[in-house]
Amino acid sequence: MSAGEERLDHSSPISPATSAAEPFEIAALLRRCMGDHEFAARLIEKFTGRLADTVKEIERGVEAKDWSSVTSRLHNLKGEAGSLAAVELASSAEEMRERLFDGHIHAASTHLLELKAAADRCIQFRFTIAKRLEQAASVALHG
Amino acid sequence: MRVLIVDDSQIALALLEKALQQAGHEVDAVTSGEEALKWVHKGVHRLIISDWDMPAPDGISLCRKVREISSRYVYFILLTNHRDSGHIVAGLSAGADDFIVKPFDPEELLLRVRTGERILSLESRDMVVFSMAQLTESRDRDTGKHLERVRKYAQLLTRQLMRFPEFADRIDDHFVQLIYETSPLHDIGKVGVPDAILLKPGKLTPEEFATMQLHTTRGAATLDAALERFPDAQFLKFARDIAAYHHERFDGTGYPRGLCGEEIPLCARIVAVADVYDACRSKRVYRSAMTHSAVVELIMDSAGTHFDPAVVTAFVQVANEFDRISREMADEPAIHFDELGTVPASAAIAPIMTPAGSLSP
Repeated sequence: MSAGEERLDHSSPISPATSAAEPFEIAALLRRCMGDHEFAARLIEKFTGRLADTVKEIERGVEAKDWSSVTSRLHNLKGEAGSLAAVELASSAEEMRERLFDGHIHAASTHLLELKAAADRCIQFRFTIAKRLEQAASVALHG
Repeated sequence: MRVLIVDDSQIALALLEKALQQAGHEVDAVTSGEEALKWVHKGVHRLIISDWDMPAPDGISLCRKVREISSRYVYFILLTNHRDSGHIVAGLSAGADDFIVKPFDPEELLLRVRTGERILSLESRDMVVFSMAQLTESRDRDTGKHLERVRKYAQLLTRQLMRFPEFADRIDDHFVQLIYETSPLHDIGKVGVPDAILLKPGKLTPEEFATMQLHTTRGAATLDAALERFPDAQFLKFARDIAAYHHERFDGTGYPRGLCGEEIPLCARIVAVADVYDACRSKRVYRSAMTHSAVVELIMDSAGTHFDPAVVTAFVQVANEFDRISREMADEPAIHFDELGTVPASAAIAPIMTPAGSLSP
């Protein structure tokens, strides 16, 4: 499967401000991985490798109005994204979950677009993450 | 330490495992509360880190189960996104010892694990020290609550000494705690002294006294053997010094090594005063108990010869407290049934019972 095929289908354009920022906070990620950039790259690979499916499951849950399943998946997504310092994706998942909790179904459904965009940026980043992590680790090591 | 980690997120589990392994811990990782319970039944982990939000059983239920099942204390850390007081109360009520908020910082995680290790080691230490001290006490019924009183006296003296400027950099709260915990072991070597000498009612012959003196080196050897196995156990070093040197005298005429002055470890100099005070205040089969003022006088007269003058100064300052402890923790009159011959137990107890059956004053 190519990068293009993995890209999520979303209609909201990515704003230049957000697209300029990296979807993972590299320094925080490295710290959580005890400075091991290869380990960090493997985790990102694993996370982004199934991210498209996760988002699709959330989307299907929204269509089926299976809110319990949607909130549970959003909770897990927020946890994993947060652990890997994918801040934008984590906060997007949390916002959507909060809106569902508050009963704002329509707002939550609209928020799905933002979530998909954030997830897509993470997926695209997997192709450059290894190099970025190596660079960051080198900078951390040599100053 | 062998740590069990539980999280339904593979990513979180991998991060936890990485941090813990890098810090030298042995890690078993499972993705559900159910799998974790299988490990809990085996009883091999003293520390568990579990996610709160998992499919049933969740972290809270797992924690409750651990408290029900485990025969030993297991330190339980909950990983959570919940920061509100309601959740914290729920976690603590279920028996959790600590919380780590996700996403966790590895440095914080390892510090909290170290706290858990420290608490677990305190529990093990107390258990070991208490058991060993009990063993000593069981040999000599005459000593009654001697060990319990000595630790109180030693603690009191050490706290007082902590106020002296010359001891400010050597005595802190940790030192006070260590002396409280380990002073009951001062006579541990007596377990190797034959009954004929240990329980002899009269004066010891020079040969018997020489054998009795060996309790210091025997006690030290016992604790040294434990230290070989656990070289970082500071409390064992402390206990060893007390056991070895509490009969040294400040002027160098004590035993076993004839150390003098500052050569004698401070903890042993403190316990020496506590031990002698209690021995003098207690009745023995071969002599009656001395009064508080007589013992204070004796200890003051021995400053610089038997005892460290600074420790004696501290003792005098808190002497009234010594007297209070001595009275509050006085031994009950001992009844040695084996000395009563073959009379039935009811007949042996009868003399101290009133006609109504209650204990006589």
